[in-house]
Amino acid sequence: MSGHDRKFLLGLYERMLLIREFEDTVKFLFLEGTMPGTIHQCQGQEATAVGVCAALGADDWITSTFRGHGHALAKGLTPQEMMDELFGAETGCCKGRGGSMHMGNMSKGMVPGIAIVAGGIPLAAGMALSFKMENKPHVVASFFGDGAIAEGAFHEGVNMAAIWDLPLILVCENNLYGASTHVDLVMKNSRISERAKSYGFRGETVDGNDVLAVYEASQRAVADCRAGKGPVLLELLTYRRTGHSRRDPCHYQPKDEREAWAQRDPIERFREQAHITAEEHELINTRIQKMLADCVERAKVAPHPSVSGLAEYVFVEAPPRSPALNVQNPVVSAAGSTRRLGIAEALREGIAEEMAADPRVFCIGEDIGVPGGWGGAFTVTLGLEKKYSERMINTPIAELGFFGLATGAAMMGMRPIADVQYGDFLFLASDQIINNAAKLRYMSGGTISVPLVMRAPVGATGRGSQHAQNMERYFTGVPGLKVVAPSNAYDAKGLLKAALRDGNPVLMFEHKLLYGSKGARAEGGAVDASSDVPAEDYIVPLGKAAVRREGKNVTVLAWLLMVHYAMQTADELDAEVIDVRSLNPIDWDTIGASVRKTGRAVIVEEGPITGGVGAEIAAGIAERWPSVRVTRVASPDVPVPFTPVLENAYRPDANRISAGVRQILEESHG
Amino acid sequence: MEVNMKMPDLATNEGVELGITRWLANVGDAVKRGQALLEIETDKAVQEVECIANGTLQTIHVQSGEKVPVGTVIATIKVS
Repeated sequence: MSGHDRKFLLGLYERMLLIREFEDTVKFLFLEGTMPGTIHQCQGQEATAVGVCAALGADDWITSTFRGHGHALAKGLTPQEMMDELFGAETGCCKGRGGSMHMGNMSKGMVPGIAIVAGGIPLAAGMALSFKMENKPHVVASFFGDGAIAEGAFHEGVNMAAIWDLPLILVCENNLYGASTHVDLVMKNSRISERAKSYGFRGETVDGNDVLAVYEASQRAVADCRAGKGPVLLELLTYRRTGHSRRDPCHYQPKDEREAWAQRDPIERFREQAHITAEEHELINTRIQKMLADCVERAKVAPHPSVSGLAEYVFVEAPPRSPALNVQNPVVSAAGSTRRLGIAEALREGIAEEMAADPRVFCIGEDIGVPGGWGGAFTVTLGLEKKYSERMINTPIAELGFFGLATGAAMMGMRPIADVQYGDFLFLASDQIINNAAKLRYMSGGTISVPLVMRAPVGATGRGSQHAQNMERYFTGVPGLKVVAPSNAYDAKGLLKAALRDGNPVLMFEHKLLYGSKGARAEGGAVDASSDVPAEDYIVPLGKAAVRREGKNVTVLAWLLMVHYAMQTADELDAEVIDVRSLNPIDWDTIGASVRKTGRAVIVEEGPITGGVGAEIAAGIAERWPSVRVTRVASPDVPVPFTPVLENAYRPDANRISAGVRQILEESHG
Repeated sequence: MEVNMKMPDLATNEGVELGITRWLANVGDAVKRGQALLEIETDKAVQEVECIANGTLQTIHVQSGEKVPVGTVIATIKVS
């Protein structure tokens, strides 16, 4: 015990006992049937949470998992705000929107628990990346279980933390079981700390039931991270004395194993180790029991959220970015001048202007800023590394990982722009986009914002089935995510700027045939989408459609490439063409004004007809204006083919749009 | 003070009745929070149920072999 004062030791003891008693209290509330939902508890693992958090400062951060009550109490959340959260109360730490698995409080340095087992690791690495980029001294400790090691997010997040020496402590609580499955069944090498070496950093296995050993190892890890020698992997050996979740009787844990670990209970061991007297224990225990009893009584009568607040906290309402930044934008030129730019050039200019105006803006992705490289797959970021080498983060091929890092950095106030080379790769990143970026604001009761811009090229362009899909359909129905799809350079730049200033996650789809990419990255069959782009700072607001041609007979609704094809047929049929442009939210005002006038709507979509964005627009029109006749022109329900003859048959073109429009006109005349 | 202990919600299917296979303490015994008080059979497994308070087991309301819905009072503990 030398070197530790009595107050510190008693503090560790009290914190561990508080966790044990909190968990037991909650368990008995469940057994009584008083509490809703489910729980994943941590009795037996108290020393890991308390030992790690004792080594962190108030400005340091943790990420946690579905088994996060101990982490939360160790990081300083109050038992009351947690008990209220468990009872689903508005006064809970996440206003009742999170619950047991998403316990957290940003003002206390704890991100709401991430219930996808390794999902918090890339997020934590991104938080650490933001601290490094902004020269802040903070470190992040990311708690996860042995079960997380097998997920790709572990590998991708850990690898990037290693490449960039991030101040990240990877805290693996190895309690021998992922749910009911023993580590030896799912790992050839179950010495988890040894994995650190293969990534090129330091790992350490520690007795996780010895709070002082955990504390001292964590102190060393914190010191390494603050000195720029991170990350560090701590494998803490511990044991869960309770079920995986509340109905689990733990029959898979052998009795002798349970008894052996019970002999090494972290609280009882520390009581002996630190010579905690019976009087000291009694004093602490009485205080805890009284506090918890009060907490439960208060939580039982705490106010529940009003049902009218169901849809609160999905989006940030007011843009968090100071408008003053616009004024400081050094790229703004004399009023009135424009240049003819393609989409790739316009986006590049928009990104450069935003980076100049706001030091928090950075790009992260594959091949985006390598000298002699391409500037991303379609030249959008070409050359930006010359001026902003520190803010062009070239990643490994690890979409799940770097979208997680981007989300974590955004959560800490950065303004990342993450892009995939081909939209098809968004499937790899979708856990981070959908489960984290889009939901964290809601899960945290409105305390997190994720100002993250994502870019993804789509469209059938001679590359077969896996570099060609139109991905819009998979992301337009995600609560908390805005989706745009510009058809020209003016919109692309304006929407990008609006997205960066919006404060919410925004996914921008871009079409490969519309970029106007030059040189080696030029596309065969490209369509001219260039615009006269103002030299002044401007935005195109999110959530607004644009009428591209006024007409009387029929409304044609399209986005991306299909806008151009629709325009080719519009004159002969006197069609009104609407560039939907914002796929979430959809601009029903503009669409409604048009379809009420024409009485007919043809929705044109590149991509399979079943379950497309067109289906959503059709349903929306039918619900709002039932007398409007609606039809769709889309691709058949087949993967994108390679051979040009089939690809051309797959993708709607001007002829098919014209046929669709003629059909609806004939039907309604007949 | 007395505390009523209810049949816990340990079934994996809604609306299933849970059977008590045996009591592990007798009326009049001193009991502690956390000790195994009875054994029940769910639709998934036989498992022990822990006592929710310190005190004396005053009354057993549901005998071994009987099945009751979740939430039924099964025992009363006189809290010490």
